[in-house]
Amino acid sequence: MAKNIKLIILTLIIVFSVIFFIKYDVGTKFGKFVVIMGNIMTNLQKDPHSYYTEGIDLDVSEEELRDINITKIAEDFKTGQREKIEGLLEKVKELEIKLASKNKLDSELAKLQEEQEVIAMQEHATEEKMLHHSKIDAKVTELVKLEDLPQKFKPLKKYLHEPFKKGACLICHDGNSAEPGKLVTKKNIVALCYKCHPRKDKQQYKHKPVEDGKCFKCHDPHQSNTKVLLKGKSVNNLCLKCHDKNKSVKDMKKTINLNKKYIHKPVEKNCLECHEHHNSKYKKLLKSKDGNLGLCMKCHNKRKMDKKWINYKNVKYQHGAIVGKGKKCLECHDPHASNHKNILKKDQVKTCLECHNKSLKSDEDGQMMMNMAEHLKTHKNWHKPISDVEKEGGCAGCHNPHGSNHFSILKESYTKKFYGDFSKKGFICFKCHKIDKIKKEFTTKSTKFRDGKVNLHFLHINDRKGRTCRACHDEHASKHPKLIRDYTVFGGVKFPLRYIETKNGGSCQPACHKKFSYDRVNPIGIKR
Amino acid sequence: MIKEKILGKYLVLFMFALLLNINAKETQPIKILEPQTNTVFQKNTLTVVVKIIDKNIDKIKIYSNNGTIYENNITKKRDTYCTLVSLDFGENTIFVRAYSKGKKRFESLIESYYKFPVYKRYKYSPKGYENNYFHTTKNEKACKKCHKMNSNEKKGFAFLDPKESNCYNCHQSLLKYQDAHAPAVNWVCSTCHEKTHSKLTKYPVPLEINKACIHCHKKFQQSFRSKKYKHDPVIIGICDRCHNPHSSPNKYFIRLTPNKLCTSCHEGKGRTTKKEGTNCAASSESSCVKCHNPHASDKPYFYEPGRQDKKKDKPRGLWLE
Repeated sequence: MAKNIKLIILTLIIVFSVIFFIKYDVGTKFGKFVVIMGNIMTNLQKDPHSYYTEGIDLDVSEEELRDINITKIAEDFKTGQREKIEGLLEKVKELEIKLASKNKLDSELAKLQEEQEVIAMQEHATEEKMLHHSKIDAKVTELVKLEDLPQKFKPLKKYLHEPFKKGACLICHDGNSAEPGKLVTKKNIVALCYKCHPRKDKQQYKHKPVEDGKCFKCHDPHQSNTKVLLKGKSVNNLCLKCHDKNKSVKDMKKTINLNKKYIHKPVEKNCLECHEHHNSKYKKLLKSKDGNLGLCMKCHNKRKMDKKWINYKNVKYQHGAIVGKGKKCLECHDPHASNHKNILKKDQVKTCLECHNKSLKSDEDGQMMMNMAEHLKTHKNWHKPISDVEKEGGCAGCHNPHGSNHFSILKESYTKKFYGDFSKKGFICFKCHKIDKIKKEFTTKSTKFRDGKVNLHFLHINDRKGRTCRACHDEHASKHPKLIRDYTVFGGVKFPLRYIETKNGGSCQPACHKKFSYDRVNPIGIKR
Repeated sequence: MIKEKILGKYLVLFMFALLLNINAKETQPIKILEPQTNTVFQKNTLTVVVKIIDKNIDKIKIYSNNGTIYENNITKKRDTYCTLVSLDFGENTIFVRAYSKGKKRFESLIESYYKFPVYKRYKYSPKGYENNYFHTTKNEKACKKCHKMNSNEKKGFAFLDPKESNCYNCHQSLLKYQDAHAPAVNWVCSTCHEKTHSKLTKYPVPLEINKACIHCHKKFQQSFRSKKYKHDPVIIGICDRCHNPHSSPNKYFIRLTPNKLCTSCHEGKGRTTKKEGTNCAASSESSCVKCHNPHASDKPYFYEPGRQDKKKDKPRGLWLE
């Protein structure tokens, strides 16, 4: 019997557990019943909000508060971080010192190189003067008097070749030959010239006539009205005999076209200010290394040049086109002549977009700059300096392409911030735009951004929390009228401004506020 | 002995009969998918999701705690229904009843707790209530038929039209008040609700709320640091204790009107709003903030600078126009 009871109980338990597992419904119902019963029991025993009663005092008394010095705890926490920061700062300082010393060495090296160049040039000049005319006296005995010279040499010109002046024709000409004017040497003329004159083809890069040994292409062997017995009226006149594009000389590639609006002054004055005439260490027979920058800065580093004085070195922010590896000055400018202002190669804006047609890394802060060419392509409403290049000067209306002390090589001060202060002087926008737009509280003329008389620019830009121009306006171009931005960045998120223009006003729904509209004729009633 | 044996056999047979009988019973006509009972909510609404299993059911009624009744007429087109139910502070019991042809077929109750961080009474949920998260992979499967459950937010970009956001449809009730927080209005939810740190849900609330706030409001951090005395919530960094990060009927998204907000903690001990001889008029709604800075100050009791000269009645400080 006892065994049977055990069996029955076991089977009962198994059956019920099976029921519980299979039929969830009954289980939940049963569970619910138990829970409800349990709750009733506990509720009968307990007050439901017993944990709020006065048994436990959650309020801390003032005395206790005094004991807990929260500010001290907070400061202790801070100091731990501060030590870390200080350690990092020291490291930064060390690195800065190292950098400074490196920069010093670099500048010293550059100076030394410049000095070397100057010395080399001076030596070159002295060499030319040291012609040993004593050689002539020693060799030649028969001198021809000036009166006995053939008719074609008369009247005599201003500058005479030294042997010619002395009548020592036989240095070069063969006296015994029946043929008049036959030269002594059977070889090249150069050999004859180099008898007295120092060689002109020692350096790597040579002028073509020098290389070919055709001294007489430029020089007259007897006499001339210009210095150094040149064949032309002046140096430039002589050079342009071959190098002018309009005068067609066969197989001449290295030509310049001077029938243009703007011409570089040395081109008019003297080619030799930049070029060497016989030979040079540097390409294109230039006078100095890295042709463009060092050479250009020989003139353009003088403050006397006024507007054309270029200060690229001693500025806070430098332009990569000048400082970086590239053609430097010649990246934008034509060294000889151009139809564009400031002898630029192309239209002002187009020259900038040559490089800024991709997003480049900025030297200022290491961030990527925007792809300006694409931005201008997709956003059709341009800022006036960009659309009216001739009058306003294109990009150079606001930026100084040679470098500036203001960020983004701007000509005047500007801001990167969303909130800003307008009390500073020399804010770049107000070079052209009138400050009344912002400063007048009530107006009917100064701005179109107003609700009736209430100047909404003034509302946005008050003293305490003034927004800057760039909070709403794009400086370059926009899809919307009035250069209103598509997005304004706040807290790392780009929020759309949702600006809609109407006939007498418009509406705006940025992140800053709900949709507000304004109307110039029938004011909606916006107040400060 | 024999009798007892027979009895035992009969008993076993009877149990099997019972089992069969229970098996034959019909299942529940509706199933409540969400919310689970005994969950804690930190907002004043909850969504009841009901799945209809029995096709005979043509009406569902939901009774909220404050007496309002939400009715759903069932059509054959869909089988799941979402209803937004408003909550009272503290404990709520919500009844869900299913009807077919006017007859009540099923009833169930949902218990939930609306936790409100300002009032002392509702600051902490009682025992038995739990934080249950909705955005789990299991729950999202059920919703996928009608709702887009993935965030379609582009990182760093706000929507041109906020209604484009996938979050908008279900969560628009968060933003029904006048003053709304910019990231919430523009539905860039990921600025605060980032996916990383929690495995329980896809879009958790940040662990350190002040860090999420300071990400944009850097100015406050600097100004608070330099001050001598700081309000305790400022020190701990629980900005959301007083501010509602989504929207609120009050300015600066504070959860209650200024005076009520202050006195919700600072009650008793003579800290009443009415005090003779001071200009703390209880009628003016922002009277506490007239003299005290709610965040930090260089003066004890968070007095605003320039408090001493009583001649000037003008309000001072950041928090007033």
